[in-house]
Amino acid sequence: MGEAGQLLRRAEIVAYWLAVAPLTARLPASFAYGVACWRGDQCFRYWSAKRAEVVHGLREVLGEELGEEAVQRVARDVFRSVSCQVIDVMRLRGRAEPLEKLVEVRGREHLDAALAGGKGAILCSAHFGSYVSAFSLLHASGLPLTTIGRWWWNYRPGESLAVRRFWDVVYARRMLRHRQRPNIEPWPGRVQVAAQAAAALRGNEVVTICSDAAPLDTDLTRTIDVPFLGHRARLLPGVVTLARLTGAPVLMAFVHRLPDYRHQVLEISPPVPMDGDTATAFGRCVTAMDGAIRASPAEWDFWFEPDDLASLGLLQDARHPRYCDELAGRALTG
Amino acid sequence: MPLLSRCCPGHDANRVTGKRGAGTELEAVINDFISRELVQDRALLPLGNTTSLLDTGVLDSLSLLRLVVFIQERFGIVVDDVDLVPENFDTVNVICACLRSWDGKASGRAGGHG
Repeated sequence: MGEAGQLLRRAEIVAYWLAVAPLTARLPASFAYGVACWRGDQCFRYWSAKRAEVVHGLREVLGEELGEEAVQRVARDVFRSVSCQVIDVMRLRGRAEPLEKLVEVRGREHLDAALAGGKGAILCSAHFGSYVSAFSLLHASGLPLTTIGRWWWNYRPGESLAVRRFWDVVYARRMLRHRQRPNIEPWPGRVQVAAQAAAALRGNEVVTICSDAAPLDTDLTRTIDVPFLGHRARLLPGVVTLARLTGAPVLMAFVHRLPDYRHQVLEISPPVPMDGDTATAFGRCVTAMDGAIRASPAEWDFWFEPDDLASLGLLQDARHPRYCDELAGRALTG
Repeated sequence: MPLLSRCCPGHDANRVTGKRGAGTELEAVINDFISRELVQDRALLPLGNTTSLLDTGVLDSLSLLRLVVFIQERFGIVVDDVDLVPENFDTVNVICACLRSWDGKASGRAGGHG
């Protein structure tokens, strides 16, 4: 993509986040999500570099079980999903009622029962679907909830102040309205992260963690190899260690979009057994993530992030360097 | 009575709280736990009380949590969120100084209510 193309892409993203999505999110849901799907289709059609990355990742990781026709269809749906997630964020206004009425929560009783134990609860998920907005809904429904996760624009060296400010305004601020505590952000040098999470759990709060996060270079010695999406992946079993040290139960949570694109279902599992060695216990979490992604592959954010697929060990190389704009994908994956 | 002393039965309270001599009892307990449970690189052993646990990579996020849990279970001291900063856990000596400070605050609060 040439320089002009990149500029155009950035302008479209800024316009979508700042104007189009906030406005359409106030209109009837069928229209708003229809616009989002249309925008996703246009991005799929005209953003050829990102489309190539998504298709490449899908072929390499799930190609054997999907087939070429399905790969193309799923790739288009990836773009639709990413676009719809922006509408979800915009519908978190107020006490999140506009989004709440579109999301059915299943298994809430498991979470309530876990919290009755008094040691908090860990919601383990993946970068899958509108997970960030779904967590916001849970907090808005009365659960004290804090998220462990990195907001990339805070850490990427050389990122301009304008970009940081932009994502803080359009994204982070909306999220933090529906959190008990500030985001807990793991990053080299921030050794207090797990202890901060433990403090929240000690207060009988809910802490969320996405266990499919690509490990940083400094974390590689702590990863373990696990079967994931038909490959061996390098993942961090931090959720298991946190659960064992705090006694908090781990529940899996995945939100997936229904075929009409506007309704979603958030499913919360019963507590995952944490017995056995770390690899065994963590393997149960990974199996759940694997199942959710295979059931609805278009909703996994990492198809947009070939570097993360490579860091996980799922892709030999990203092949398609980031010659295209990084803004859209990164912002949506949080 | 300070929590540190109550959790180290039979020990000289003054020695533990550092009011006399070097206060080596507490340092020994903390050093022993870190050496046994957290140090991966055996070349760092024996661990000095002034060795930086952050610069040497002994403490990462999860190992700090293990240390915090140990402190809570062994001494009954719950580390406040505001005290969960890397600077408070840089060396064994720093950790012990903080523990004495936190213990003093906790004892003060307990005394105030009691």
